[in-house]
Parts: sequence; C-alpha cells; structure tokens
Amino acid sequence: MNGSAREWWAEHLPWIVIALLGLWLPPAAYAVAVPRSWNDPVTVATVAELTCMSVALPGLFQRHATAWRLLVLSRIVVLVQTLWIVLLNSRLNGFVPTLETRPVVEAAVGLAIASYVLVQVRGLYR
Amino acid sequence: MTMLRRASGFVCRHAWIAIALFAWAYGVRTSGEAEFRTISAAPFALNLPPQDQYLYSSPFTFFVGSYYQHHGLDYAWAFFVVNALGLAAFFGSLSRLLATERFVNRSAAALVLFTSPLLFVMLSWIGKSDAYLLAFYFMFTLSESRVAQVILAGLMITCHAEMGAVVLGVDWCLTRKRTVAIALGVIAGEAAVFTYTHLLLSPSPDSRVTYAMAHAAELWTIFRSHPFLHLAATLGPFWLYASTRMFRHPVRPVLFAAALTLAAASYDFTRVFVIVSTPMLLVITREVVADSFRDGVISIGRHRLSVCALWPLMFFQFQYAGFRLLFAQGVRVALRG
Repeated sequence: MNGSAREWWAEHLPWIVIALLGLWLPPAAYAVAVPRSWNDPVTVATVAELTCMSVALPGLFQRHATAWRLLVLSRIVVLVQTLWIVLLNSRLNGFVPTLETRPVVEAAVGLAIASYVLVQVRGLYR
Repeated sequence: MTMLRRASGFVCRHAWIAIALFAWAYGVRTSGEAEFRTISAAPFALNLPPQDQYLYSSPFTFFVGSYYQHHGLDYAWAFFVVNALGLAAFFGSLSRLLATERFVNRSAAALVLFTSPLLFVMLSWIGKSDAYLLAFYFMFTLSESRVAQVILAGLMITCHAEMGAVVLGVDWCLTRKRTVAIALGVIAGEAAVFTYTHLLLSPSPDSRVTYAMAHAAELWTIFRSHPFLHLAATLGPFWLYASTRMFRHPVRPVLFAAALTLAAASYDFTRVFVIVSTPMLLVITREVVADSFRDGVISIGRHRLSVCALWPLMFFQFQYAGFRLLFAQGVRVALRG
C-alpha cells in the first residue's frame, strides 16, 4: 500500500467504522434487548467488539494510537469469537465442514482485510 | 416586540428547535411498509405486482432491510431501523455540509433551506430511500477524495436509479466540478442496478419509465388541471428567496424546467421536484445566507428583511401528490380533475 492509499484509509476509517456500526449495532442491540440472550458467549463477544469500535470512534477522527489499539482489540475479540464458533460447531459437524460455513468464511475474509489495513495505517496514529 | 425578536433570534441560532417544532406540528408519515416487507424478505424473487415493480430499481434500503432481517430483526423493526438510520444520516450529513464555510451560518442556512418543502417531504415519505439518497449526496459534496465520491455517487444510484442520476446531473450543471467522479459513479451504480434487475431477477421487473408511459395521459391531466398550484407546490415559501435568484444564472431556469417536467411525470410531484432540485436549493440558500451575512438583511422586492424573521414561513407548506394536496398531520384535500 502506498502513502496516498494509507492516507485515504486513515482519513476514511472513522466513516467506515460508522457505517459498520450502523449495520452491526441494531441486530446486536435487538439480540440483547428482545430475546435477552445475555448469557450467550457469541452475543457477549459481539457486544464487546461493538463497544471497542464505538469507544474508538472519537479517537479515530483525531488519529490517536489508543483508538487504533481499540480497533485491533475489537478484531481480536472477533477472532476469539470465530474460534469459539469453530470449536463448538466442529464437534457437531466436523472440522472441515465447519470451516466451509458462511459465517466462518466471512469472518476469516473480514479479519484478513481488517488486519492488513490496520497494520498498514499503524504509522499514521500517534 | 423585543421579546418576539429575541425569541426569533434564539431560534435562528438554534435551528433544531424550529425543526423539532415542525416535526411536532406536521407529524411524520410512513409509506411502502408492505412493499418493504415483500422485497426485503426475498430480494431475489419478483413478488410485487407489475404496478409496483419499479421499486426494484431502488434496491438500497431493501437490501439493508434484508440484512437486518437475516440477522434476527423482524420486518417492522427492520423498517424502523433502516428509516431511522436514513434520517440520522440525512440530518447528520446536512448539518456537516451547512457547517462548512460555504454556508457562513449553519442555523440560518438550515432555516432558509427548510422553507422549501424538503423537510416536509423527508418527514412525510418515510419508507422511501430519499433520506439516504440526499445523505449520500451531501457526503458526496463534502468529500474531497475522488474514490469516495465515486462510491457515494454509486450508492446514490442504488437508492434511486433515476433520481440519483438526475441529482448528480443537476449538481454537475451548477458546479461543472467532479465530472469524472460523477460519470464513474453513475456508470457503476447503473451497472449494479441493471445487474440486479435484469440478471439476478427473473423475469425483469417493469421500470419507472414503463410505469410513467402507462400513466402518461392521467399524469398530464393532473398537471394540466392545476398548473399554477403545481408551480406553487414546487418550492413553497422558498419562492420568496428563489424568485429573484432563479434568474441570476441562465442554467437555473433550464434546470427548474427540467425538474418540473420530471416531477410532472410522477404522482409524487412535490417530492420528486424537491429531491432533484436539492443542489439548486443549496446554491440559492448559500447566496441568501451570504447576502444576509454581508448586509444584515436580504432584499425581497423593495423590502429589506432579516432572515431570522422569516423562519416561521417554513410552517406554510403543502405538497402535491396525484390529485391530492397534502397538508400537516396527513390532512389531504382531493382536487377535481
């Protein structure tokens, strides 16, 4: 990634986070509020992920390193959540079929893209 | 009198008070819940009757609603969330746009802009993708990155394949800027909508053009019956500002006539007119606020008035839709053809 591409990502990262929160927050809030699935580890992990992203938001506009770290933390939470799902489902369906399911593939692709972008823009956050 | 002037000045500095008052006085109206439920439940199946199939060429809100429904929300919550986020995006992006130095005074600019039927349209057609369309347009004008502009222009087209392209066309005619971004965004957006309607849906849904052609005679009768009422319904009290400024640049009357023609070819006359004229409304608003900031007052004919004194004009709104006039709180008056 060249310098201008890094700058573009750093400039637009807060807006991308806002758009993702717009997509992810309502289903999570609904899952917590309506079916009251508080004790489901997947829901807890989703709440933790979205909390990290929401708290990081103001700092992303000002390019604080803390905000960058919170975004990394949110991706680590997703990684743990995905590993938990793989562990749980592979007992029922087998390891390879579980890896081929849509949520796991989506999470893997999303994590790969997010990790690449976050590593690339690290130097722009102080 | 001094009290009244002070109160007016206070509202002029805090436009959200006038907006909240307007929402309370005029109420909010939803439309298209049944169609939203049908399309968002199965966006790749053609389940609407032919007269409603043009809705498939505005897929953005239906896909977002479908995403929410696949993640646990029922259709009513999905409808609420999609439209609440749309309105939040509209007001958030407009607030950011009016806060730029181009508009001098955000609050005064908002009050001038909302003397047009724009706010009334936003609050009385909840369920349409207009809020997203204009939010993406405001972000498009704010963004300095060409990549972001292309993405936002493309998203505008997915909100409304026809009106999105016209809004971008009007913006280009007024500014002659962002040509490449507009061209690429329109091509990408139209390609995405075409792929969806013609390749992923089988059979292809009827388009808006087919719909307008089928109803052309009736639409012409509606327009011909009350042409002056239609003219009044285009800008409402905003005419006070627009009447003189409309002719400051030769392209403006041409754009007005084009928007009028397009609006006359639809049943939601005022809604369509206001949405496609939004770039022009913003340009005129900027001029009004700049004049007011420079001279302290604006000239309307021989009168010199303060912009802050004129904000109550936003409460004199009506819309033209089909053979009906729409007023506050959903009051409708049917007209004779």
